[in-house]
Amino acid sequence: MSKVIAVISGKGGVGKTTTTANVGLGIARNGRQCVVVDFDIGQRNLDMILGLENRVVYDMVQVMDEEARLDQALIRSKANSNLYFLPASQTKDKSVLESEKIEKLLKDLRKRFEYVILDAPAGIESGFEHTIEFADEAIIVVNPEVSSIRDSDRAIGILDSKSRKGKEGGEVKKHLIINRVDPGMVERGEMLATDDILEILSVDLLGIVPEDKGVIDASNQGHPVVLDDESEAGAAYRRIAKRLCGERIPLVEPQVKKESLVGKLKGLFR
Amino acid sequence: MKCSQYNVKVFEIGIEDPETFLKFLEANRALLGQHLLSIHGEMTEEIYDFLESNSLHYVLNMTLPQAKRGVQRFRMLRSEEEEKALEERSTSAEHSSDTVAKEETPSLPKELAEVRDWLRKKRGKSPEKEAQKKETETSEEALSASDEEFPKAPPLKIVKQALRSGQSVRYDGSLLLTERINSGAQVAALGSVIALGPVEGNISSTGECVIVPPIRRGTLLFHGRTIENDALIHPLNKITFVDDQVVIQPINKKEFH
Repeated sequence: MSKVIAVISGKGGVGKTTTTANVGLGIARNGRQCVVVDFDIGQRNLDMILGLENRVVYDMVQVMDEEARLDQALIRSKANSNLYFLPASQTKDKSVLESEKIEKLLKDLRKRFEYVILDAPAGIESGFEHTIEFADEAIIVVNPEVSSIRDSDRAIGILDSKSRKGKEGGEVKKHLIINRVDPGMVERGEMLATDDILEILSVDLLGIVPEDKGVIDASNQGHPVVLDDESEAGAAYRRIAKRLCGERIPLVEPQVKKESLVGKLKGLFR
Repeated sequence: MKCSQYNVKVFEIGIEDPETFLKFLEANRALLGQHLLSIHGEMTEEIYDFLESNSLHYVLNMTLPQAKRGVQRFRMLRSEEEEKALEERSTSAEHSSDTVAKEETPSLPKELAEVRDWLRKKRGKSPEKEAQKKETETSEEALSASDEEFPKAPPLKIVKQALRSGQSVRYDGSLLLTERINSGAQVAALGSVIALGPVEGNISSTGECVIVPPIRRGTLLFHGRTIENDALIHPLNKITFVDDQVVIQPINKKEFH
C-alpha cells in the first residue's frame, strides 16, 4: 500500500525542500522504495539538494504532457538506490498543472513506489493546492516562530478543505516537523516552545530538528545531512524517517550543549 | 452591468438651532468626516458653507432605509450605506443599519427579529442584484451577504472545531465556539459571541454580550468598538453595554449553575 505524502509549510524558507530530501533519503535508507517529486514548478531546488543537478534531462511536466516516459524522467539517487527523484520543470510555471494529469502521474508513481513524497511550493496558491489535492498524508514543516506557525495554520486549513480526502469527508493525516530549533533560545523563552506550537496547530508531532549549520553546507554540496552520522540534524531526520516507516522511536527534544571542561578553559584563555 | 456595494457609517442629525448645530459639527469634525451625515431640518448658508469647506459628505432631508430606528435627540447611529450609489446617483442603493443602544441594552430576540425583517426586505427587493454584487470585507457586510443560507430564526450556532488562520465563521445569530480561534481567523456574529478556547483571531459582535477568556493576540470588536486586550483580566470576561458604557465583568462560578 503506497502513500502520497505532501511536504508543506505555508511560509517559504522554513526548510521544506531540505526536509523532503532528508526524509526521502531516510526512508530509502530503511529499505523502502521512495520517490521525491519537486512540485515547485519554475523554481526547482530539490535536484541541487540531492546532488542530482546535472542528471536532469526530462521533467515532470513533460511526463504529464506525454512528451517523455516516466522511467525516462525518473532519476536514481547516487546516495541510495531505493530513492528516485522526479524533477520539476524550470522553464514553465505553476499554471501548467492540471488536476487530471497530476492524478494520473501520481497513480503511476503509486504503482512503483511505497512512498511518494511531494515537495510543495511555498505559499497557498494553485501550485500548493495541486500538490495537496491527491495527498494521503502531509508533513507540515514549521520553524518555532509566530509567522511560520500562522502561515502553516492557514495551509492546514486549505489542506483540510481543498484536498480530495477533505472534500470527501475524510481527513489528510498530518505530521508536524519543527525545524531549526535552537534549544538555547527555547530555554531562554525566545522561541516558541514545542507544546505551544502543538496546541496552536493541533497536529501530531513527527520530530524536532535542531538548528545545525551543517545543513546549509550539506545542501550546497548536494549531500543531505541525513547521511552524516555525526550530525544532530541528520540523526533527527533518521528518526523521523523511521517513524514514517512505522517504527516506534521516542521523541528527542534538542538539549542545550553543555560545554566541556576543556572548552570552558579554552574560553577563559581566549 | 457593473454593480458594487459599500458600507458607510451614517450619522443622523437634526437642525434645531443652527448655532448649536454648527458648534456640534465643529467640535466633532474629525469624527464626522468618516460618516455620511443625514441632516434633517432647515439648512442655513453658514451650515452649507461649513459642510462644503470641510468637504463633509451629507444628504439633506432624505429618508434612508434602516433596520433599526431609535433616534430623537442628537445621538450616534452606526449604519451601512452604499456610498457609491449616493455619489453617482446610481439606482442600486442598498443598505442597512444597526444602532448602538443608549438607554438600555437591547434584548437579543428583539434585535434579531429586526435583523431578520431587514434581511427579508432586502431579499425581496432584488435577488439577482444580490448575486452580482461584489462583497466587501467588513464584517457587517459579510453577515448580510451570507444571509441566504440562514434559517428564519437563527438558533445558537455551536462551532466545535478549532478555527485556523484564514477560516471565518459568520452568522446572523449568536455563536458558541468551544475550541481555539487561531491567529488570522475571523468570527463575526450579529448576536452574542461566547468563545471558550484561546482567542488569537478576530471577533466582532453586535449582540447582547461577548464572553471571552483573556486575549493575548487578536482583536475584539463589540458594536464597532475595539475592546482593549488589557481590559480582559478575568479568566472569563463578560462584555456588555450598560448605559452606553462598555462593561467588563468576570463570569462567576455561580452563573454557570
